Amino acid sequence: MRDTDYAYAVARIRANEGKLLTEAQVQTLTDAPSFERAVQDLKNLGWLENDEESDISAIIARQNEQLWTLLQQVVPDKQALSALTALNDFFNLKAALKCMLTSADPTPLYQQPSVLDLTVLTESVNAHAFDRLPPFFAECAKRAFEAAHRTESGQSADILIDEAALRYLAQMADTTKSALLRELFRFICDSTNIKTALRCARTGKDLSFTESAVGPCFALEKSQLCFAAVQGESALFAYLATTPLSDGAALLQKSTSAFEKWCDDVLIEQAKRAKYVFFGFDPIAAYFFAKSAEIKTVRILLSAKKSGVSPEIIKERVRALYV
Amino acid sequence: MTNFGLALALFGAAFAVIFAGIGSAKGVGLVGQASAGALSEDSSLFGKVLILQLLPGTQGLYGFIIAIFVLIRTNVLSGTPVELTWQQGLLYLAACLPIAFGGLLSGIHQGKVAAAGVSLVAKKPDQSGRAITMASLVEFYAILPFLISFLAVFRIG
Repeated sequence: MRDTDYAYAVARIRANEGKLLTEAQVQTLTDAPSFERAVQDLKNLGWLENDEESDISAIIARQNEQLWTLLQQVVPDKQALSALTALNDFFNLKAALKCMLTSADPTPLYQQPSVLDLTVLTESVNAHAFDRLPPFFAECAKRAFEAAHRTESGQSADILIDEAALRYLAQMADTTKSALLRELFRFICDSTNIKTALRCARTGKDLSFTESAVGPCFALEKSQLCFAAVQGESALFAYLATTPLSDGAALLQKSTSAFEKWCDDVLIEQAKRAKYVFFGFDPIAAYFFAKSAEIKTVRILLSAKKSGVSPEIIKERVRALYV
Repeated sequence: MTNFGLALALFGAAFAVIFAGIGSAKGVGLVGQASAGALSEDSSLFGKVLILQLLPGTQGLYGFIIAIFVLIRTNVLSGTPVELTWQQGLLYLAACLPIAFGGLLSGIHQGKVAAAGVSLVAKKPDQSGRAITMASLVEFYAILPFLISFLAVFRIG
């Protein structure tokens, strides 16, 4: 597919970029005196369709659905979209496996958007018919299922799936024609690996466990990261201070949420380069990350308003904006 | 071969129409796709994106004009074609090449600039003037080969 085949898609996406929340609008929402007022402000901005709707999950779910519907309508190569939902797809696989082990219904846990057909996912996991899933997911599900049975715990399955998700992203990063997606996926792999290594360090896992849990690295050296994690937290942070992700590592020492915010902000900063690209998949991918960050910001904002958190604390958690 | 010169001249006319036309078709088609995207979000942008879509269409028109002049100069239109030496025919063919290839490339590139302009207008409708200006600058490189082809066709004796 040629970049110019995306002319229609990019024009529609640009029109939608104009509807993304601005800094001033987010500021107004942050300063809203109450949850109800924030919901009213969102309604005025076109986020809500009816007066009754004030359930945060419903608002967020509808925005995600609208985003995904738009992307499906405009993108000429539907295969390209599967890269954007990879993390949700692996999360859903994890949910399906866990619920199968505990005989629970996974439907409320599923995350959208997802390229995997969730009915097929549930049925194939429940029937242990993993071959009905796409090849990479089928192999991952089979291994995770066997590990869960062998160890009688969901943790080993979680680790296998999380690592497989990173391998899938790394594979996508290597094969995608989109320079932006390549960079974003590599950053997501590295930042996720830092969190995994820290968890391993905090729970005192051995080297072989840590190496199996950490996925492919790009700006980090996997062997050094794993070795440092086994040595303990301070050795891990000492190693991370020598890497290109040292700024984030410094924030991670203070709090996980500060690190999460830093990761989201870096993604948006990288995505901003697509503002100067007029053909191809990059503007679409950038919009996906921009809108996802906006949805996350609104979710944080509304949850904070509902719990009566002060605007100052909300400001610290609000993500960087694309526009 | 009888009147081989005329055949060469007609090849020149065909090149002018075909290649410049391909450039325009590709350019207008690309801007058309982008315009459809912009209009599906905001139909009030029609007037602004229409100008951008028209711009890459001029190359095809220039090629057509040059071809018509070749047909006039060789009396093909009047039904009594003149006898041309192969050298004269080759001159007509050469005269048509600037607009054929200049039109092809400038049409494609003007289409890309105009399609990018449509995306700009879709996001910021008040920037339509700048988008049109940027796309218009490419037109200069369609006018130059058109002028050369035009002058050359008229100067061939």
